Amino acid sequence: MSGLDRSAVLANLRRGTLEYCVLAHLDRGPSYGLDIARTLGAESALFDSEGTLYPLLSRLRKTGHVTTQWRESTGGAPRRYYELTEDGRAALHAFVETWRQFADSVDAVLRGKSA
Amino acid sequence: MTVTGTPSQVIEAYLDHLRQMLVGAEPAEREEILASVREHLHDSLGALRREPTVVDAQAALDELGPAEDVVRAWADGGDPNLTAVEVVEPGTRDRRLLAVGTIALSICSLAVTVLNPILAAGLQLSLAVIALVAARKATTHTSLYRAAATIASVGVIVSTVVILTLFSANDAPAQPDEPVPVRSGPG
Repeated sequence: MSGLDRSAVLANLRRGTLEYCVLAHLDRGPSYGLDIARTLGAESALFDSEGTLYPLLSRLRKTGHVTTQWRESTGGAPRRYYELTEDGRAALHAFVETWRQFADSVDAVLRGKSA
Repeated sequence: MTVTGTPSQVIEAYLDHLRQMLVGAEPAEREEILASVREHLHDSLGALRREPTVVDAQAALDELGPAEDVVRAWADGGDPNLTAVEVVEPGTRDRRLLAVGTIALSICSLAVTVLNPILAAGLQLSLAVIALVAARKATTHTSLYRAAATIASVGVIVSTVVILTLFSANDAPAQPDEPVPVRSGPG
């Protein structure tokens, strides 16, 4: 498979999953942009550019999955913290259940192919 | 890469570029994204715990990624059924028109081959070069430019073949005229 094919597959997978990775990160507690970017960015498969998170965070706020509030930071300007809402938590749980089933099905098919 | 200006100038230039590219977003959404990105950069440079240099600012922007990626992520979320993302930038329609125009000119140049192959070859060569340069430099419609370059290149080959055929026909040794029998009358 060429590099172009791999990046196209990765782009499609990211499109459906990155927002739930953000919700999963926020399920551990409120967080601010740079912290979310650096934590999720440690997994290189999730995104190439940290900036792609911000349209996503804006969308999650609009859909009511997260809320924002300003908090003082140590030695700097106030930071915008993102916090998971109950709707966001419900969406995350639905995703987790669906994902496991989906991933198991895909794995089973791929194992069958490689066998 | 040489980076010039102050850290804040480098960052403001990036944000201005991002603002221009997010022209299709609702104003409130655009400002929210810009404010978040600005905050990210501020936090990123603040973590250095020293006065940031312009190189630091550029490094923070490199990690953030090109503005085009941010816009693509925004456009991607606009339509959940979108599979191929087309980023709407200012002047996109003009650029598409230019690319289609280059293809149209390349096709027309094929017709010119019949009338004047030398003129056609020159025109096609120019179009092929222009289309190739545009395909390399343009950020959008590169496939259209490549198509124009291909058509123009085919035109160059066809015109060259026609020119060579015409010249070789002219250079061929003239056939001696058929002898005309002379009949002389009786006596």
